[in-house]
Amino acid sequence: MAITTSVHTQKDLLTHFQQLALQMLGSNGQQASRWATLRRAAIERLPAVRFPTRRDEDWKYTSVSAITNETWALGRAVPIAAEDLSRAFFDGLDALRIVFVNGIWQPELSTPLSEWPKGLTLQPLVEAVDRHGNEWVVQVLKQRLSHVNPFVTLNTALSQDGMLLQTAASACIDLPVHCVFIATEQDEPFVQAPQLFVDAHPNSKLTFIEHYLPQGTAAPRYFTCATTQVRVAANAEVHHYRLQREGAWGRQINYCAVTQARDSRYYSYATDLGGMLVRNNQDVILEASNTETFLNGVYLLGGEQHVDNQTFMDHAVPHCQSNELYKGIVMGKARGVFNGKVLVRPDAQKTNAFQQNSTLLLSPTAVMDAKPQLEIFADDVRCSHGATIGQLDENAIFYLRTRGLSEKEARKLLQFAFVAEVLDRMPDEPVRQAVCQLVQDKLDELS
Amino acid sequence: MSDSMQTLEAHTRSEYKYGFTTDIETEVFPKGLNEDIIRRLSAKKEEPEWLLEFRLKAYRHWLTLKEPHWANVHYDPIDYQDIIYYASPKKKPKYNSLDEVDPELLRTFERLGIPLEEQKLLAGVAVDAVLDSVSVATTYKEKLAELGIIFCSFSEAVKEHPELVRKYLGTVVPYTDNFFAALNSAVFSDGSFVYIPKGVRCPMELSTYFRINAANTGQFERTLIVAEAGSYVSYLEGCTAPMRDENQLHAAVVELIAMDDAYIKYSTVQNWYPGDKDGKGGIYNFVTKRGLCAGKRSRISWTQVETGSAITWKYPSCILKGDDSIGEFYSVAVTNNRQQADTGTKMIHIGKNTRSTIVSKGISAGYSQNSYRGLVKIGKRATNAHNFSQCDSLLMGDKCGAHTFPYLEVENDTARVEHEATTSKIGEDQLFYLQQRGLSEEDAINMIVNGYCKEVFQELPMEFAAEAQKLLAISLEGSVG
Repeated sequence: MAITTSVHTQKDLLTHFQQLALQMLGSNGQQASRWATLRRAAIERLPAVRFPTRRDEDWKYTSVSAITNETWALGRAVPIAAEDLSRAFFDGLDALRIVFVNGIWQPELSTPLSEWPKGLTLQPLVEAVDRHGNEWVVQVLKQRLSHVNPFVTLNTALSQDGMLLQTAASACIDLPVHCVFIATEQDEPFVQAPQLFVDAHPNSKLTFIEHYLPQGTAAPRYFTCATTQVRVAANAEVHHYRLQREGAWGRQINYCAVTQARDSRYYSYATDLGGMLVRNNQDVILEASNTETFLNGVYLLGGEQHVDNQTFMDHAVPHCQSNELYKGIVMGKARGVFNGKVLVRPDAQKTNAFQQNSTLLLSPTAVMDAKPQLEIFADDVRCSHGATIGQLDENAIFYLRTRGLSEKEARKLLQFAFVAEVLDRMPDEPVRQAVCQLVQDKLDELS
Repeated sequence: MSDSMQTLEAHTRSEYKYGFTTDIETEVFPKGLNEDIIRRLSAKKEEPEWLLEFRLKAYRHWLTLKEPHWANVHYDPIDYQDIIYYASPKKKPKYNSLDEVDPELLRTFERLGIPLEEQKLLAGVAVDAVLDSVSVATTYKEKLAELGIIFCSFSEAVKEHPELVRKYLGTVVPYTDNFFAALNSAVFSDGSFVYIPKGVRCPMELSTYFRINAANTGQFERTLIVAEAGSYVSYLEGCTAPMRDENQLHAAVVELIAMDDAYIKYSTVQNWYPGDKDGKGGIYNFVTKRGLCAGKRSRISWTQVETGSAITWKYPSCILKGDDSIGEFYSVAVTNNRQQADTGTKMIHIGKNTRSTIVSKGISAGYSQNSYRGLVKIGKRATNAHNFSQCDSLLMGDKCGAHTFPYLEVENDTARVEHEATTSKIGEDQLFYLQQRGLSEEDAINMIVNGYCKEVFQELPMEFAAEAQKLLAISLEGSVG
């Protein structure tokens, strides 16, 4: 089924994507269903979308030519060895597993649905829409049709599998849900476009992990175009980990939208370690008062990596709190980008919003672009942001050396301590330890 | 209605205090812009061929440009063919003393608070007063000339010192820079020229009062300041404009060049007509200001207090090219009623050990929108560069907006860049404390706001600092949140 026409112009690429999507839709044979209608609408929109260039303000520091200049096939399901899978899971973490390989859900590798605890359900999106008539999913997918970010439309059109995770009202789910997205080597570069919908009903509590990685230590050629949608209902609490360890060749464009109802709490912990070109969009829209939001991020970049973190806090209602902390280390010829936007709408009085972005720039060829942005339309608010770009404190290194550490050890220790401020916020100990270990490994690799 | 709301109502109704026009016969060109107008303007000013060429090149380039709209401001489209590009007082006077100056003009200055007679006595201030487009009175010139300092109108400089003007004009802000810089380069009418020779410390503050006068006249000022090695100059620019309903465009260009060890301090108090309380009328202030720290250890410092104009769109910038050079930007931007301001700075670090400081204080009241937009760029070779930025916003009222758009671009691993921004309103506890000490609410607010702006005000020359405080009080009278 591979279409291997060479892609030169944007129009060609979009037509190519459209053909891929139509083939997939045809092969599923569900033309008449509601799900297929939504998919078809996205596919029809494809030729009209425009990929961003660096002339677009939101893409000022990130070029997507590494994606638009490539010819892409679709991901295919392939068997995967148990030892490859073990890399994806954390020691000592008892979790419910959802495994995707090349963008396709693998029920046999995932925790059997019969073993899921009471109060938590998992449905493929197509079932959620066609069998259970989930209006929220339908509404979100409809809204996404006109989304300003073209990769959101692309995700709807090209997605082979998506899952809906739902808690029952007042269900406190102790086990975290661990979603693994593994990419394997294929004959040609391919796209995987998984979708994840998380619906936390009132008074419930849920922890889930998104984990992106390649198979083994190879560097498969792939592009992850992922979306995540989270709805946190009244008085619900969601902890969202995102661990991005894409392969050295991997490209990822990821869009995560969160909506929060009254008294809800949403905590995100994003860690970016891998990928050649990565763009994360994290939008949080506050729909009712008295919510709490923490956005935490860590990025460690070396080689020629390019990682762009975009966050958007939309304070649309009064009495909400948000707190954002993104810290990272950029080495080699890597480029880090942070664009954090906080919007306080006219009625959002008593908003308390904080944002901090700090970066260590540790090589003469590394680049960091930071754009913290505040747009405030209400007066009785407390909003602040800070951004720093700098190096390690030479005095601190000297101190550690007087204590007998080698210079390399001293630097590594301080670098780790720099990002540990964010990692320490992770409440689930096995996850935190696993992420800390991966961060240490990456620091070893970079230094 | 609470007390504070009543005070707010009372004061936001206060009218612009510098709104009056001077009835002096003016010679005006017909509306519109084409090559003939530029040739006529150039001929009128008896300009050399190279300057006409410069203008025409700029005009031709301008025609290829589109008006930019990325700023966070909104206004009706400007009809560039509906603007008069040249107006001058008809009697072209040549004065030996102030007695010969048109008394009407003198009265204008007096109402503006610049008694020229007293200026001579006031130690340390020389005034180059620009009324519309032609300089009409210059004082202290002789005293400055003794030191080799040139301080004159731009047209005079073109005649008297063409080699200097030709050497530096457009070197910091080329006509290709942006839409409004190109327009200015094509049609600039007059402005100021300052040249400080090597090793000279200018003994007084150089000051220019700009004034837009004749109706429907866009004003296109051009300022060029060159400070040779080891010299120092402090330059003040202040403006008030008469009240009128039509929107007036002001697209000025300011270029500063500092050689080795030179220090240029450029201060602005801008209080042009902001429009009435419904946002009708007011000046569009679209300015390109840029300083080049060309020499080693050179320093350029911008201080601005922006209270006027319906729309302010300016980014006084520093290109830190020389090693160890310093750029500074201190700004208070106040918006009230329907004013819009999108202002900030760019610090471009190119040389080694360059340092920059940005302190921006925004105050928004009424229905106004106030944005800080700044770029700090540390180039690949700018080793040991250091920047500190602080952008604070104060909101007075629940219908206004405050926005910050900082851009930090760092390409060198020895750079230290710090940016912080806060947005808040005046604390109830602070107000309460001052009021229980016997201050009225109004005085308490004035005190808090002045304290908030102090970091910037203390960078202003003393005479200016006093004026700035007064302006601030007038602009914000009663805007209690």
